[in-house]
Amino acid sequence: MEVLAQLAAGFEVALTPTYLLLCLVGVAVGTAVGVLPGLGPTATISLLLPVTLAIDRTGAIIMLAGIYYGAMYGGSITSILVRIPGEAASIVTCLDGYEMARRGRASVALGMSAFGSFIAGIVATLGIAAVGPALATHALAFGPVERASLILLGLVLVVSVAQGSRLKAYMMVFAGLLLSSVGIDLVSGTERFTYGSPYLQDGFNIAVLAMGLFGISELLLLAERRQAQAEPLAYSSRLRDLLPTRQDWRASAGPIGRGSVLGFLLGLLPGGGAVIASFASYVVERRLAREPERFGKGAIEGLAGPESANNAAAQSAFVPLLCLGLPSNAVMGVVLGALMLHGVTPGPRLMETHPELFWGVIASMLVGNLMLVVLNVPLVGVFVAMLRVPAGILAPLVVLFCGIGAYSLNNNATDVLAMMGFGLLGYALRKGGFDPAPLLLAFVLGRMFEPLLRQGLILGYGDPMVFLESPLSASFLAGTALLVLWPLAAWLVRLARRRTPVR
Amino acid sequence: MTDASLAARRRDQGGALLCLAVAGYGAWAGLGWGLRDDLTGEPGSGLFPFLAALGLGALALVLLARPGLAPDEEAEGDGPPNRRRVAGYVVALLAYALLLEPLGHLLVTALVLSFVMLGLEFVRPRTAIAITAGAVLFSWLLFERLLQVPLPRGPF
Repeated sequence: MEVLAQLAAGFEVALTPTYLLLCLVGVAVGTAVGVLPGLGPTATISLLLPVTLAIDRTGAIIMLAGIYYGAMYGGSITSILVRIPGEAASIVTCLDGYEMARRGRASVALGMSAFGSFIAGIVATLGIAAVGPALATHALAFGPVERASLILLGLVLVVSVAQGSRLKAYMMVFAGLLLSSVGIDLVSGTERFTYGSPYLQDGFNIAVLAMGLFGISELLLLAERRQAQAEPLAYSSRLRDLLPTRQDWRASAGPIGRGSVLGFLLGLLPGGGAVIASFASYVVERRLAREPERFGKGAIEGLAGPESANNAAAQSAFVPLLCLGLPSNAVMGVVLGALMLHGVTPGPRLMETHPELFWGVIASMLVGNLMLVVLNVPLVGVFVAMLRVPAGILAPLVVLFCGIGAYSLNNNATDVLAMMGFGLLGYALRKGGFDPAPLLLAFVLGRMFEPLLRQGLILGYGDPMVFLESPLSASFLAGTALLVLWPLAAWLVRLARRRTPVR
Repeated sequence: MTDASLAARRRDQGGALLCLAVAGYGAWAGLGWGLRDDLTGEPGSGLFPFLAALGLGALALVLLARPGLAPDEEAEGDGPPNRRRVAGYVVALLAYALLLEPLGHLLVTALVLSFVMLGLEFVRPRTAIAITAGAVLFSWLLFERLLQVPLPRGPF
């Protein structure tokens, strides 16, 4: 009951006109930066940090939080329409969301993405209010050893999102890991694969890779396939016809529920976050599906689950930050900076010292998610109208916006060149039957995995057995081994049966 | 084996050989950076790339030795390709990236959009000019004015 009273007090804070306006500005800006490839929430929040000094601390965090979860939704719009993930957490949305759009169901995909995100937002908000602070303390049990093992499990699960050959998907995972090691090694300062270039010292930017491997490669494939000006797909302009049907809702209810819970829990983990949550949800849905072969070909479950998961994770990531002072990703790191600029030290006592801040921000997330639905659902028709633009006009505009998006990351044309290079690589990979999705996800995970692996080995004085000593880590490794060995064992059994002569 | 599966097989072998070369280089570089720090006994800078390259190389060997294609494997974009248009896009993409700073955002955008729409997509000239002008103006307003992204100005 005490929690409900505190949440009610939080709503009193969040519903004041000033905070409502700041929340609206946050989600609108977040949606816009999510749509624009390249300019992600980390850069936007960093740019807006000085602006927040003119606002009180609760208002500042409400606005910055709005930008973050607004970007999660905005990122899905371009993933669905043109297969360019506006955000790393929207990479998985490209798989089925874009396929839905290709089959004339872009509006349903956009609508389900908005509703799924909203429902996940409610689940996450209630979850944070009820058990978030208590769970956050348990998240401390996840040290480098456990997190490294969890990411290893994630790397094996990445293979499940791939289309086609499992062998090639594993190859792409290793290629992604190798690519993630480009740049200066933060432990020893050694330059790896930089060839003396200052550009390569920080490694490749995730957005550059995502736009190239997905957006530009898709553009080239479309250019190759189109023999004549293709007729644009027919779409209804009535809002009622654009929204998900009852059947869509029936298919999506389970994935939204599971995605919300999974996203909430993974968002609590330091280093978890929206990217892992979205693809973990995809893997779960694919495994639970009666017809897993539909995934990657426009299955609504493959969109609804990950979209819910990334939004829930984006919100629950605030719990370790506010309750423990632990930023779980780069965006939370910048928000931590904003808190400190305002003289607030986040930690276990924050709820007692600044209850209006903690509960006000939590309640504002519910309000912000409602704003996202109200803002975006009526705009579904406008977004879908983009697909009526003939491909011959849309394609060069995509080149333009990807180019500017890549340039705006560091105001450096080398990012544009790198994006184009990854576009050609993605095109070649797809022509060769290699799915670039595992490469990109392994690249994202690899950047977290290497420092954790090394920290774990340092903790174990170089002995890899340290990863088996922690029960949590051992259970993740057992899961990893099972996932790798099970298909291998099944293949060996099939081979043995084929060789046994029939009597 | 049909012609298509033979071609796919050759494509796989080519891909595997390329991955093998990348893996060999990665492993060699990893060994050079050291797998273990001799002074502290901690894992070295080369350990992670070495392990990743080792995994890539081992799987590339499996792909190379595999007799045929898995039943669910197919490359994207099969069918009669329009190679001229793809080559044109590659030229446009590279030109955009390489000329962005020397010529500036406005000029390079206008040139690349005009080239793609008129030369590759055969959009009517009047439409192409209108869209190019609109896109240049919109991107300048959005990025340079509103979002304060300092886009390259070139010689002007």
